[in-house]
Amino acid sequence: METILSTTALKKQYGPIKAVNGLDLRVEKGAVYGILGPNGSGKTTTLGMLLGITHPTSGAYSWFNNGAHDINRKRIGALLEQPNFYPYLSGEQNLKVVAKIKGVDEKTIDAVLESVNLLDRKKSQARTYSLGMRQRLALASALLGNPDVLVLDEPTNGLDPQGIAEVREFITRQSASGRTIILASHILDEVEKVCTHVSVIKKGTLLAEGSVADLIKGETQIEIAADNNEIVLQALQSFTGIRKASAENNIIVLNVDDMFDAAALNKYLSDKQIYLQHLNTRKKRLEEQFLELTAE
Amino acid sequence: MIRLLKIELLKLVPYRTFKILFAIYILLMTLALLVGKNLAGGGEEGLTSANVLGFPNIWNYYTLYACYFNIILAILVIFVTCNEFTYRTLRQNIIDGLTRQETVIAKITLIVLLSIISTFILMLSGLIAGNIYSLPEDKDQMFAHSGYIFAYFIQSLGMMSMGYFFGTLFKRTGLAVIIFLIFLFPIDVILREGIFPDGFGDYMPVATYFLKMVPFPVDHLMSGGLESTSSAPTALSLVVGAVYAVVFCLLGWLITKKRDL
Repeated sequence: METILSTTALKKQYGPIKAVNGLDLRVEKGAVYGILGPNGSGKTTTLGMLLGITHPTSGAYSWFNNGAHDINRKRIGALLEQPNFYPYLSGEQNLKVVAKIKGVDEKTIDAVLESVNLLDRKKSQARTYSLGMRQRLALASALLGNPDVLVLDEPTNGLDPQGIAEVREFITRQSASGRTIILASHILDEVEKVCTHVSVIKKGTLLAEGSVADLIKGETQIEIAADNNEIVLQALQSFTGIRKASAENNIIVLNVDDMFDAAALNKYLSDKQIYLQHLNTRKKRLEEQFLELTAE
Repeated sequence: MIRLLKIELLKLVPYRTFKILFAIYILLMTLALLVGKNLAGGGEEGLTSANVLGFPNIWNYYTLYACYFNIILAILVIFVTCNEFTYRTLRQNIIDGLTRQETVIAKITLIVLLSIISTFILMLSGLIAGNIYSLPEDKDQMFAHSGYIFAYFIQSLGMMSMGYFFGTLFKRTGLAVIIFLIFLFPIDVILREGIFPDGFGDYMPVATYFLKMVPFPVDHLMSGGLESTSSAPTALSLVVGAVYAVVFCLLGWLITKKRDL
């Protein structure tokens, strides 16, 4: 897998406040990578550093395995916080500025406007656009130059249900066409719907990272532990219904089918003279965790 | 460089405030020349129209006047610079792929272009007015004191660079304009007269641009027009003025480089 983005111990400190505290992320090509965290958790600060507008206090990042060079940003289409445009310029004129910056042919402007349904309003001043239209203009702008990666920060913020649906549909379409997408959001549901991978951050610290299937969908998980976990793992190989077994900190975590019977597992192991010290069934670990931390 | 300038022009040309301010600037530049029209009749001696607005004295008098209109251009540059912060387009430009350095160079190319245009306007309207007002025998002195045209160019650069610096430093249009104006009048006078009274203070930025580079033609006025205006601004004032322009741009670049946007 080709790595699109990696960060190592990325850190941003504002006085005593650690906005981003040693973040290690890795985004593979083709992923729809969600950065999930409550407001103020450091998502935008992180993206700001990755996009060259905020200086990291320490740590490093690398796009396309090519370090932090300015030139990398021409392969990235990004929308950070709200859409930023010259309000007195028309949608089309705004995109001309972007096209010139990216070194892209102006002829491609109509195509990207078309793809977000703004072609008929391209001559209107951006200040006359509704929030939804400005958001779509920003998406069109991000698409200019056919970037390898789209970075979207809270792209559905403030939009009505229809606007939200449009943006999500847009992300799905872009992902299907092979683009890597990095999406920051505080909405679990959104990440769950569109992302393939997710990292959860809070107060600038990474809480969890993995595929959405593993983490958010958070199927049933069973934790078990015995005196000798090696023997348990061997015994489990012939037990049906276990998708994945992984050992972490003396505890074996099993990802299992929905109808999995924990009692049957316990009986099966005890028949084999293996007695568990610990057996715990849990569901949607991350969602609970996320709700806890957002509830603060 | 040309690409950066093109980007700036894409932003600037449709900007209505720019059009209005620039139109006002051109109007003032040209109408100012009417002031000399009714000076003391058409005699050959004294402070007549021909003596003040004919060649070669026109270059001193006209730049003396016109340099105040550069304040409009400087304020225009403050607007354009602060807009990038207000609309958050500076960060968007960088996100879209400009380097921080390029955003600074883009503004500098714009300042240079506006300076060239304003100097051209000065030269053109000066030549036209000079030809109208001059006595026939003075017309061969058309470019005799044209060092002032160059001084005006440096002054335009310097004033707009100052505007760029204040705009970058304060980010908000209103604040930047007010502090720029305060710097232009009281602060510079305090520095010049109160804090560095002996020589050095005469070369504070504003004093350099308004007093040193375009000196008030005292001798000409005192002699009732018998003596000519000084033939050119001093080389020192030009060098100091140019150095300030560079310093203001460098400071703007330093701020842009260091700051989180």
